[in-house]
Amino acid sequence: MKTKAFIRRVGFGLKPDEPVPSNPLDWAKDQMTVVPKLIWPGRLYTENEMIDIRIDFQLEEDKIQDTEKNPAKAKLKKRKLNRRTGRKFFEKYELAIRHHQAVHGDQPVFERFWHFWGNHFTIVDKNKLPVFNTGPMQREQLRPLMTGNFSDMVYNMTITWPMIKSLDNFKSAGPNSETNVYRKRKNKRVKGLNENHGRELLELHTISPKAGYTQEDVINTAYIMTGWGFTGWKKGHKGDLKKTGYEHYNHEPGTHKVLGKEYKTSGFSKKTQGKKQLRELVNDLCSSESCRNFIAWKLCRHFICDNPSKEMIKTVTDAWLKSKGSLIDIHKAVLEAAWKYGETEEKFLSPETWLIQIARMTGADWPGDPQIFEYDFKSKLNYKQKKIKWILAELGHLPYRAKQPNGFPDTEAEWLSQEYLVRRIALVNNPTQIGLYKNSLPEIDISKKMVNKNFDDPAELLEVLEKLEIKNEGSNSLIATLCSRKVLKV
Amino acid sequence: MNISRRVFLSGSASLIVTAPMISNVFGSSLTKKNLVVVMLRGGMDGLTAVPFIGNNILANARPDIGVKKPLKLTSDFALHPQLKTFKKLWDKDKASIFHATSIPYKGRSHFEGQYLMESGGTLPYYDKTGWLGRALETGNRKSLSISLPMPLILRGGRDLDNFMPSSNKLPSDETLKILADDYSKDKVLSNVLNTIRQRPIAMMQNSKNANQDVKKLAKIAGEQLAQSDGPNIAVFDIAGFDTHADQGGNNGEHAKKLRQFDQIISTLETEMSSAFENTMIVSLTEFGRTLDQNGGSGTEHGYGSAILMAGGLLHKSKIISDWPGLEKKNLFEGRDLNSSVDARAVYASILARVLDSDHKQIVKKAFFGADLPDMTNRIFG
Repeated sequence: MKTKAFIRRVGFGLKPDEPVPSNPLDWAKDQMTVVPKLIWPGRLYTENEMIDIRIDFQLEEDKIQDTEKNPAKAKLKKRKLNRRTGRKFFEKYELAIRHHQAVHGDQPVFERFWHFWGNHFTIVDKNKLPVFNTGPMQREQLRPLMTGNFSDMVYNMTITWPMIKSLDNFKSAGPNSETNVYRKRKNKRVKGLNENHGRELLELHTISPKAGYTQEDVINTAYIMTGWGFTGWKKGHKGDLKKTGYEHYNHEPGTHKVLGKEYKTSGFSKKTQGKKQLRELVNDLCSSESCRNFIAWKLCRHFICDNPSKEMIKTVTDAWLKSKGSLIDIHKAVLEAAWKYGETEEKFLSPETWLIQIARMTGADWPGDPQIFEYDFKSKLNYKQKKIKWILAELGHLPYRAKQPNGFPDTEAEWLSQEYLVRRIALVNNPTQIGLYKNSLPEIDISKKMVNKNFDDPAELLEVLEKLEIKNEGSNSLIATLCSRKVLKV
Repeated sequence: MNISRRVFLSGSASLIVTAPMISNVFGSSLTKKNLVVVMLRGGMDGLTAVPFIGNNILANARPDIGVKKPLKLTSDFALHPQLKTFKKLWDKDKASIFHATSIPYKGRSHFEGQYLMESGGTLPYYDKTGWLGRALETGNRKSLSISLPMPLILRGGRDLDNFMPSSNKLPSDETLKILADDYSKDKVLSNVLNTIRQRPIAMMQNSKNANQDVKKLAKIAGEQLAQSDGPNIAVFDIAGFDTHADQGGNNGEHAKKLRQFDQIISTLETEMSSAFENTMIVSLTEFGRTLDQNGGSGTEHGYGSAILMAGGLLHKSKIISDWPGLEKKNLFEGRDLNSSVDARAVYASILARVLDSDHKQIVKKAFFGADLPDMTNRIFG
């Protein structure tokens, strides 16, 4: 591929003052070996802290609901609670950390992969997960896993707190588990099996329906997963539990067969058998050909084109086999495939990727000085703090708010519609919203600089800009470039 | 009458500048009929929307999430209490239910199922166009999807637009023209931008309090559908029917979502006034859910569900079903309500009526000539 197109295809384009790498493929590959530190200068709330804050919020909210019967007073109390616990603040804060890293960091290709995996392991928009938990989990758990092995990533993401909550596994119990044997004896209603997480582990996270599994396989996967949930419940406990873990008394005992293989319990103690079964199952799923093909296809579709060719996919699956699933090698192979086969392809960028690209390439003040995101947990949020979430919502791409566990789509047919395009054009029509201020460089200069820096063949766009300059229509230059076909599609 | 801002797109992709007042594109002989498809994503539970009350099987299978005091329709079937407008229309012979039906997909995956409910085919991720779009590929018919994406169900159609109110403003048409030149070699981008440029003024204005309140969205769609030169197809998209946990009975997630569906119907009825007489609203989902409740007071992915139909084009309210029964032996794979009719047959017959087309032609275009019986008499008779 040509240098600058490649940098936009797999990264976020070049900042106005960023040097053009002499070997773009190595430049990109080198970014995959070390997890970059987050450059956000403000406080990074830990995942555990956020679960605490969430529990605090929930208990208080329930209390208000139960005790305050005066609607006006209840509303006031809730507002105060919202501010004290940052209910309206944290999602915007996490988005700011994410965008600050992508726009200003120096491993943008790594960040693209981080966004990809965050979407692959989607935490559904429910139960206030995007408010308190999804962002911190992606920072703290997902990021460090990106230089390890794929099966470790799948295993650890499967048992992470938001995932267990998002896909309901904490509600699942085996029909013959100790819990249900006891309940049956006491004539209590049994706790049923929940297939949701088991199905998505197969369908979305590893092997996809192309692997040809059956309903029986789904049920047996769900059996293997029984026991994984929240732990530490004691009498009188209210609200969510803080830790995820394995509770053997919910686990369906015995051997479970998935895709022809028996997952046995012999040799393991009662307290660990379900743990071992899940680990073994994830290892098997991740070393299967269906999994390699599915994940390689999905990566190529994201980084190269909507319909990746066999050669592209094979570049990735070969590296996968050779390295036994090392994500560093898999990621590098994706970049190699993009470099080798990407020249003749085009990729329509998702709204969030496009927004980050135009911010990075123009040197916009986006998402804004980190200092503006400092919050006293008392006041109403101001415009500058709110706008990142509002703008991403406007573009239709709030990354922590996918409605379904398959996450956001990744093709032109899904992302190109009248209304989506209207919103991109209308956003650039008001460039101060994305941190391109009237008092900075004239718009025409920003545009020219961006085009010269980021296009291998800038002539066509420069010609448009020159025409605008002659007609004294420099104010149209940002729309003419940032919404041009060549910026929307790389 | 809609006033287009500047140009009117004819059946072909070329731009024709016309006077702002446009004559009725449907000619004088035919009344404009409207079809509204409401997609209910996640697997709408037909047994929650339209519970079977002919025996105790359903009630016993769902001790925690059974619908209490449903609105009685017949001796065998009742309606979820949140479907109030639907019940009002039922009482006026303007609402019907097709029960125990599904698209021909038994795989229980949402994403394959949703793909197929929109594509109308039988292979997931295979067809790149949708059944509604293909049915509309000829003729002067316009469609409007009330969603941010252009849903697969409409793709392949000609005069498509989609809409959600937004608070940002588009630049002048002179500015858009710069982009139109830039997009000129890209057919897809050009088409999309051309549609934007000739949207009616009502859809060009930014709205300060833009939100996703379903009633507000239905109001916009209703206004457009009621125009004689407006769209005659509208698509809504409601997600959130995948209730593995906390499905609820009278309240809870399924109830909330059914209420949204009902609000769409009531808003359209009000907003469209007399045009509602020539309108048909139908629901669409990827599959139904298990008979039994599960571990989390929810239900699992199943097979058969129900199609809810409302609007002035119906003449008699009825439950249409070859009811398979809820006894274990009658359930699909011993767990789900079965499907006795391919749901595509229902949609094909509705399409034929709304588009004044031949049933066979519709089946051929929209559903690849699948073997689908004509349901016209059962639905409209």
